[in-house]
Amino acid sequence: MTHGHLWDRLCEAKERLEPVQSKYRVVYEKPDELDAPAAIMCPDPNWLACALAGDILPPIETYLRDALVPDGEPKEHPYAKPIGPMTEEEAIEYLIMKDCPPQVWRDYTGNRSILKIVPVEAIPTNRNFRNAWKIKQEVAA
Amino acid sequence: MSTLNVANISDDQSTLTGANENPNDRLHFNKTVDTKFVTNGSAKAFASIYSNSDINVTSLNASSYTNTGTGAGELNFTIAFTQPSFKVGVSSQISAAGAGATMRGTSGGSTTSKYDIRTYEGTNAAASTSYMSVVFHGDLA
Repeated sequence: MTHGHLWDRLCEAKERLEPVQSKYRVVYEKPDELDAPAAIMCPDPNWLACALAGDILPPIETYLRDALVPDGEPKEHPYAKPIGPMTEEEAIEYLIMKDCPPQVWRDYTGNRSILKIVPVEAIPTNRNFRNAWKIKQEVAA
Repeated sequence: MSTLNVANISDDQSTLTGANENPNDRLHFNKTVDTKFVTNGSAKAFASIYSNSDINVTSLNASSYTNTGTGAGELNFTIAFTQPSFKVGVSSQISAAGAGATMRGTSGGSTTSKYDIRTYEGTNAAASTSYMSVVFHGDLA
């Protein structure tokens, strides 16, 4: 095994790569928390730089399997062989599977839109009534 | 990137005498420590978050920040920790109004792969912040 621990690759990448601010944000609602406002996820610039560069981040399947591993037990993702470079759009999809709850992106079967990838400009900068934010439901004509 | 292999680090207090000697220093007699205490004791993750939504370029081992409501958010880690209780968040931030504010993590919302952050203004009401920073120490998976 020559790829070592993910920590070593992250530290090396931070020295080598320029951070990349994403032009996207992920907006989602948890289906089991009806009164909760929409959540807005922002990718980390250093993480996105790693995703675009490739050969640093592990396969997403390792994170999904590790989510089932009890705390304190050995995890798979720090030691997995890294994957190649991704586009920014692929990186956002990877991040959704990694950091959004599975009931949002995998298990939801309702007909309400609870997950959207939007440009940064679509997020209001005014935070008034933040706890009332919901995803706008667009009805087809 | 070169590697410096050192088994122990010494502060060489034995060379200090007179006014430079500090016998009240609790580490005064611990002149040599194993290097692993230094490397294992370094921060394993940190991030700066502004406008309660975006991650600044100064970060390590963070994959995303999710704003979940007024004064609430989650920082997701690229590499999980071994136990939720093994990490400690240190923070400083300023409220949107420019006044001092408080910040804490929640044990219920935090896991080995994310840290649940809540921020409050002086009246103890939840408030979004213009800037905050977090640092984590602990054992990585």
